[in-house]
Amino acid sequence: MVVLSIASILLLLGVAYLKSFSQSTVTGKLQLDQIQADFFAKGIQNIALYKIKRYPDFFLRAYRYMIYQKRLAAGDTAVDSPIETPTIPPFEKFTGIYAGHPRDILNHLPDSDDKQTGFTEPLKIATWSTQFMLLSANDFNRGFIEIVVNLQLEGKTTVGTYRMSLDASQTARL
Amino acid sequence: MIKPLLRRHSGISLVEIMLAFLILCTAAFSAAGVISFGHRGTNVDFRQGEAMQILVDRLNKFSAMPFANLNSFLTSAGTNEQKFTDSLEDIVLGDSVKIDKHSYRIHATLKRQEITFDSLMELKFPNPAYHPASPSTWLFNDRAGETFSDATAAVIKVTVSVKPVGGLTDEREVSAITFIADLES
Repeated sequence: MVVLSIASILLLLGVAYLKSFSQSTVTGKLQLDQIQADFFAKGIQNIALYKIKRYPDFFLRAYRYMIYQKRLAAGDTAVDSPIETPTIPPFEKFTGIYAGHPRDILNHLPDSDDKQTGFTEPLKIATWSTQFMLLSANDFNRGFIEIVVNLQLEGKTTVGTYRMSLDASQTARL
Repeated sequence: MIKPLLRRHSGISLVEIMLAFLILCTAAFSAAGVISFGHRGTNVDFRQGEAMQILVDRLNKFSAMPFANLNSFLTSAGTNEQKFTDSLEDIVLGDSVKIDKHSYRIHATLKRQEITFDSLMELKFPNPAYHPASPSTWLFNDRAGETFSDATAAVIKVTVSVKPVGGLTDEREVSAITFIADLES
């Protein structure tokens, strides 16, 4: 009877011990997902920054045109009507997010393109997107570029948001 | 008459002692096995955790490296994609890198990643109404997209993989990627 009791206690302790470390393996997988998402998003932000650096004129003009169109749509009487309205707003063209454009390096690639270029390999990324913002602090002559990457891993419901902010001196009002 | 009969049934027989000892031994060995298995599991978890820390460290070091340096490694290798198994500058890589008591296989792959910016626009000229400060006068035109690859590559994909080695079991490899763009030129 005594022997059986001791054996049972030992068995229970063993089961509890096994259970405790089997849980920590799951935590390890979550940590890895987090690390993979962080560095992938950081990489996308680098590419987005390169796009701004490569086409600064297009970025600034497209952004300013978007602000102008918003003011026009809001009925601002201080702005004139455009002499010609582009079919697709230039800023949507810059970001790459517009109807009829399913392939963009900053906003998700179709599986076939991804496999061909091995862009996300060996990660399993469901989708990602990039937003650009330009903020002004006119009183201080400072401008801020914000790049926001949204990222969803395959099989996950959570969308991670990664924000990068850069500031620079501002020489003109937007 | 009753006394001798009682004496014959009292006490523990040798068979009972052996049986009890057998049960105790079985239970003790099973418990020892479970504890040893648990210990191995804890050890594997520790090495996995350390592998992830190494992964983050190496990726941070690659991210801090100038694009030109990364590109020069590929130029020296004479290829657009190369797996590096030996240290690069101060980034320690190898088939068996010893960190404290444990060893890890740390490899890095650099690849000139092809990227395309295909929805570009520019201002349309001649435009007699054009005034730089007035967006209402701006006219936009589509322009040809640009692809950066091979010799003109502007982005390098960095893949780092870390695997604990030298353990009793075959452990999981962890890997992650990032992209380094040419922001210097």
